[in-house]
Amino acid sequence: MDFTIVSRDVIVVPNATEDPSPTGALGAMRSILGAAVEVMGAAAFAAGSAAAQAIESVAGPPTAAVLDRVVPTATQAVIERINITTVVVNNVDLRAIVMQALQRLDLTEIVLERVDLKRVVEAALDSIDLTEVVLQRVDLERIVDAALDELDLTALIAERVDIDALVATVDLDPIIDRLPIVDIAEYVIEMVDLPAIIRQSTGGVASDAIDSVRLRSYATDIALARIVDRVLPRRARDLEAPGEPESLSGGDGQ
Amino acid sequence: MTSFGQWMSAGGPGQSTKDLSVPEPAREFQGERAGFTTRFVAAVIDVSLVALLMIGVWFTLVILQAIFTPGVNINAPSMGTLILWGYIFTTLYWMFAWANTGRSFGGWLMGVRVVSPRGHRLGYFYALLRSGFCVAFPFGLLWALISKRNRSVQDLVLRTNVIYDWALRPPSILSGDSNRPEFP
Repeated sequence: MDFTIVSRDVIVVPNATEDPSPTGALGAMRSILGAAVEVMGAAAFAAGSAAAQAIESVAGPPTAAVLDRVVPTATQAVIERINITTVVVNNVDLRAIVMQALQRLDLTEIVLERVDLKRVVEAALDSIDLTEVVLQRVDLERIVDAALDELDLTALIAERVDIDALVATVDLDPIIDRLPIVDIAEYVIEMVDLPAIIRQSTGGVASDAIDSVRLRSYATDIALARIVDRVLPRRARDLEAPGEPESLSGGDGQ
Repeated sequence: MTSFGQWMSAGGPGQSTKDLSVPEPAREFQGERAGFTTRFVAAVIDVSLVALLMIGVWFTLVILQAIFTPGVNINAPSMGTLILWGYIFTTLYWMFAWANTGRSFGGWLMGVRVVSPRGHRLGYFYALLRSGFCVAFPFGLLWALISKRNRSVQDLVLRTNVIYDWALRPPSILSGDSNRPEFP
């Protein structure tokens, strides 16, 4: 940071063009450094005054014109010969100065008054790839999980989303292609026992009679077998035939 | 009620060997060995059918004789000849029936089917053996009363089975080599 001494009174003007980042923290730093430079200026001024007194003791009481010419020159010469920064750093309790300055100043208020925060934020956002920063620095999974834990997503969708409109845009053909239509049809046929319905609606007296005769005959088979099995001391009959009849297995013959 | 998912998990189509064309009360015992009564009634129906046919033939010949006498001389066959023809006709009838659909008219009416030891359709020769045996020794069916597996003497000797099979679906007849009838 460069400073320019304009007159005998040391006026410190920060060169704003070289530091275009007027953030709140930098503003505070600038105030601090300003205070430090004031101190340095005072030191230079003291040196200048001493030089003026020396001149006055040699050349008699000065006139204002003489002083106006001599003091700045002498001050400049002193400043050039002394590393003011080193002097300040070595001799000044900067921390105390800064702390006092901070106590006296309402930095927030100053920043709010003096800083165009909108511009600062926009400039910061322009210079930063926020997306990249977020991707690198933010645990998005945790944030999403936390958000999902907080939200009742189902209720939210039911409330906010027009599901009918959404479904209306869906292309159903691929979905239907993926559906096991034949399986579904067979399931329905089995569950409603469609053959039984067809039999009941189309079957005549003859088919009913045949079914009835068959069932009675089967019952007689069972009854007769039980009687015989009781007479003969043995267990129940083994009626499972090996393999499956063709009409049941589709006639695969395997 | 079984949901579609449960149904699919259990195997989906083909999970059940029950033929839906069979009435609900009869599905449980389809494929089991048929008992004596059913088989006896089926045989009686078949024999009655053949007997009726023979009587019809004889009656037709008698009528023709009466109509065309004295011009045509047709001698109605004797009872012994008719019975012999009845035996032959029954043998052929059962052979074709068992070798094709596995059941005769009586078998269809009573819902039974004759199958090979592995549950397939009989070959013609096998069917001829069985039908001849049945015609020659009809009392062999009585063993089904006593047999633990409802087997007649013919079934014991030829290892065939007679099962309940009410299904409307006919067995596959016109199919490839894998479906050729068994010929032991």
